[in-house]
Amino acid sequence: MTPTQQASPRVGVLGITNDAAVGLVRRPARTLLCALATAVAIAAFVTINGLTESARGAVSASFNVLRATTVQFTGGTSHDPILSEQGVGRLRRLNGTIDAGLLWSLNQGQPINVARGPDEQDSSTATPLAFTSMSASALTTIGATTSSGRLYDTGADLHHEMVALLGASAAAQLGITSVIGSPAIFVGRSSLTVLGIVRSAQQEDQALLGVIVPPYAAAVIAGTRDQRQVIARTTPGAAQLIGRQGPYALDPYEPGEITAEVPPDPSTLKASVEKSITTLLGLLGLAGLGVGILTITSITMLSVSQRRSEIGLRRAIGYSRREIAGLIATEAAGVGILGGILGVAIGVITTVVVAQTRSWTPVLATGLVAVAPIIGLLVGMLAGAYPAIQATRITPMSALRS
Amino acid sequence: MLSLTAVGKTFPGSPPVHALRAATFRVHPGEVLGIVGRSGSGKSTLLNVLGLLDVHTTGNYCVHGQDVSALSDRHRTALRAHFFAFIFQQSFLLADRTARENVEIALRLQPLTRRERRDRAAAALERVGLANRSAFLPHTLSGGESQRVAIARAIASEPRVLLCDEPTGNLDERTTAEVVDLLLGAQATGAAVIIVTHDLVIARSLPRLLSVRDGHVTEGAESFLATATDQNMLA
Repeated sequence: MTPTQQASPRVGVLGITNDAAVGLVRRPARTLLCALATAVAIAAFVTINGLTESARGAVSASFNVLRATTVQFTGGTSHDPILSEQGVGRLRRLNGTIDAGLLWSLNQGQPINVARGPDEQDSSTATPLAFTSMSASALTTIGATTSSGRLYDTGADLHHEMVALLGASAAAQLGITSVIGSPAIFVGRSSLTVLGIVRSAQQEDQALLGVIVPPYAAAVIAGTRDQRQVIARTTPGAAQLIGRQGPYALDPYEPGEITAEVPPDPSTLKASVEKSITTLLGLLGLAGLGVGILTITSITMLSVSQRRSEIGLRRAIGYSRREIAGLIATEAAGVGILGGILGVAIGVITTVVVAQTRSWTPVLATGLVAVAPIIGLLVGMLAGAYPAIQATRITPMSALRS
Repeated sequence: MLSLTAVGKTFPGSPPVHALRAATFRVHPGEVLGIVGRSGSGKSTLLNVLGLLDVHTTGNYCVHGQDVSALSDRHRTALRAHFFAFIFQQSFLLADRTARENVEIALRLQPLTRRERRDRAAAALERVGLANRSAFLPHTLSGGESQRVAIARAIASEPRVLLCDEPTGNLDERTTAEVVDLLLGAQATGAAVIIVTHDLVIARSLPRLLSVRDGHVTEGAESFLATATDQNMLA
């Protein structure tokens, strides 16, 4: 039997891995210290990512869904009210509009004296109240609800009914607690039948402080000089779109005359928050990983030079250069994986603690948690490459010279 | 089994160092051979060349009939792995492995199951009288015990040639005698034992001696022994 004709004896991947694992476990202090460098880098990575996510969550939470789906249109001079019921009808047919209605403040927003009796107009018993005109659809758009009576509908304008709704506080000021008996209020020479007392509305709730009347009654009381507004509710996410399309629907001839007031786009705001943090994340993460790689490299180099005799002995015993390199690289990779796992743990804890102090909901990408040990492995392998090559240059002769 | 014909080794440099000049001799299976010489005479170079740790620059060196000068580093490593075993002046035990694990490392390169490896390591430790120390870490062992672990590591792989470089250099007299006995015991398994030493007591007890002087290898060691009679141990 010629020895070299036999299969070359090999330690094998399993043997090397086992050897490396034992080496790491038996030198826990060095292993841990070495892993800590990677751990800190990956912890920073995970923490920044987690905090970005959590902050984004907090930003979106601060967006009121209601506000984010409301669009207001203003336009037209007082003499030329270009916002009309017809326009609102077209706006309502746009895909993404849930409801829309006309509304405006009467008398330039100045209060108008309201009396309980026809002869009390100028007496000191008259109560100054703000008047808002709303089409029937505007009432549903703002989500008004009554505590007594009912809301008016489109029939009120159609039949030129002189009706009014009182906000809860206005009703209290006028001493009206219920619409039973059809109480009336007097404005100038007009009398308005109180149809209902509005308890709450999701929008435009300043209108609840005063009197709400349909457009016809508003015109009778204060004329048509006031600037009109259209309020529209959209499906979530459609506000921007309706804001752009609305002017064309409201007045196809002069869309430029109409300005739309849309809520800030949550996605652009989030993106701007995200962008600045992502850049920071990228830089810090990379810097951290770089430090991790350098640390593992230098500690592994040190370890290789301390273990010259061990490496020489292994070479003398018959470990090939490749197996020596494998051993050193595997140890470094093991350190990297350990660092990755430690880093994720530290990162998760830090994220949760910081989010807690900011009373954010901690949000963590599960993928990152799974990927971190792999990042650690790559860091370790990258860091171990050079020392591993160095180790193969050690000859048994030089290392074992007594 | 080992056959050297005009083997030389020159280390490049200015001037180049001729550490070994035209060494010609043979080593047979089961033979015990001592190599003596002063420090710097070329003993270690000879041992390194013999053990394939170093490559000779001239001449022919055949291991088991195969010329090794043509072998690649990988093949030389493979051949070394199961033909030779080494014992050095220092035991070079891995500090973080137990005595048994240190022995097992030498068996990693053999196609053995984990269990066989453990059993053979245990058997080798028993042969060197350290069965009760198998779970000890090297720093808890004495110098003699460490060297015996190194011997166990060397003989566990059942090498054909055992190369010993000053194996007793760090040991006291009594321990030296024990270690030499163990080394010579390896001969019983059919292995050739080659001992590099400058300990005259050991040298005199060996059946065949080669002496190395300025890189020249000569059979017999009369001149060396004669010049060294006034001092038992040579530096």
